[in-house]
Amino acid sequence: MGRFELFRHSPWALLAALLTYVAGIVLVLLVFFGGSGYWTRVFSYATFVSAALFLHLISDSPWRRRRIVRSLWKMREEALLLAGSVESSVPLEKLIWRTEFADTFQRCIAVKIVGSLAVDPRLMKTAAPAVARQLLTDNPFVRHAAAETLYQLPSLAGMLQARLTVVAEEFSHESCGRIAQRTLDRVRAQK
Amino acid sequence: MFANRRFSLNWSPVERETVTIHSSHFLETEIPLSPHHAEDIFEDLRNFAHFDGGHNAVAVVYGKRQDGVEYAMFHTGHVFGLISSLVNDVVVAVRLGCQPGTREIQGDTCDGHMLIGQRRWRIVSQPHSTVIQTEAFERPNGRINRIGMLLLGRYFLSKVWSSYLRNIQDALDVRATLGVAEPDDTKGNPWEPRDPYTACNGKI
Repeated sequence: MGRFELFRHSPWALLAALLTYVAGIVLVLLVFFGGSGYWTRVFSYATFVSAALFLHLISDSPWRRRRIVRSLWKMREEALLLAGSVESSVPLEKLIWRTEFADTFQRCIAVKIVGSLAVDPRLMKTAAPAVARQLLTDNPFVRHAAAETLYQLPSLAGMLQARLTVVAEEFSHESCGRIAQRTLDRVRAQK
Repeated sequence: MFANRRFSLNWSPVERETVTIHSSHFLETEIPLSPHHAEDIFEDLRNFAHFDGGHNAVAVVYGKRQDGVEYAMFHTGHVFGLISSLVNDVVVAVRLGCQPGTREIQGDTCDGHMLIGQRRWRIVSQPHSTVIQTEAFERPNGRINRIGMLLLGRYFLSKVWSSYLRNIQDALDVRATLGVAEPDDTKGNPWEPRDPYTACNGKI
């Protein structure tokens, strides 16, 4: 996950950053070389507006989070729509890729959505291991989201009992460990 | 990082005098839940097992026990806007405690939180229904947060807790009514952190 990860997934932020950059350079040139007052004013406004837009788009605000959730749900719909077809793996792969992002919020929601797809027999083979991987990730928020996903999806949890046992033992001091233990209890009670 | 940080409450005696906001959200089922089911939901509440995702697009959470104390760690982002990131932590801690023998969890805000106050989550069994409720007496921490709270903070706070209850409703799969009491200002916080602290130790 490089430093330009944000731009790869937010073309509007990239556009705003480029606008800020270009408008800023033109503004500096106009100031230095004494351009007309009209154009200096226009580029001052352009720099200010694009910088404000850029800051708004990169800030981890509730609006940005809502956009993220919308885009992830859109990918989920595409994955379900294409399930079973030749190009079926593309949206699911994109979703799984998001479970590995640096952005904690995005990872958590992506894990939950991938989990909801894993109950579909056509997508299970790819989606289930992705959720299992996140159970033992370094990020405690993502571990919690993965454990929560399995708690809500007992059919998927039944397949990942070994991994859940590890989580319950290794993270008994965390909510993910307790949720994993409760999931295991629930799965065993159903047998 | 936040994982190994020690937390202390951001409360002070002034809370007894300062204006706090009282808010309440509840989910009332149309038929009462069995005691076993209610206990199950209480454990879910304690672990925030239905918090992430679903209707909630504002924050994510995890719980941890550190030195015998339970904390809920909320990843809120810049919930009060961009300026909020200058004064608040992105991950904020709430100390969780339980009153033994009851189905109630108390959450006291810790240092770095944008609020100062207490939130409670409880399950109340009634003759014809079961109520899952979250109620809080809290106030914004500092001037910048007060402005944020006036602008959109209240909306997003309310959104977090109503979404959480809606997630619980989806998980319960029972007919239930979601209610939000209009927030009102009160002079002084009538609640205070439990002393001595009692952790939530699993089944009641």
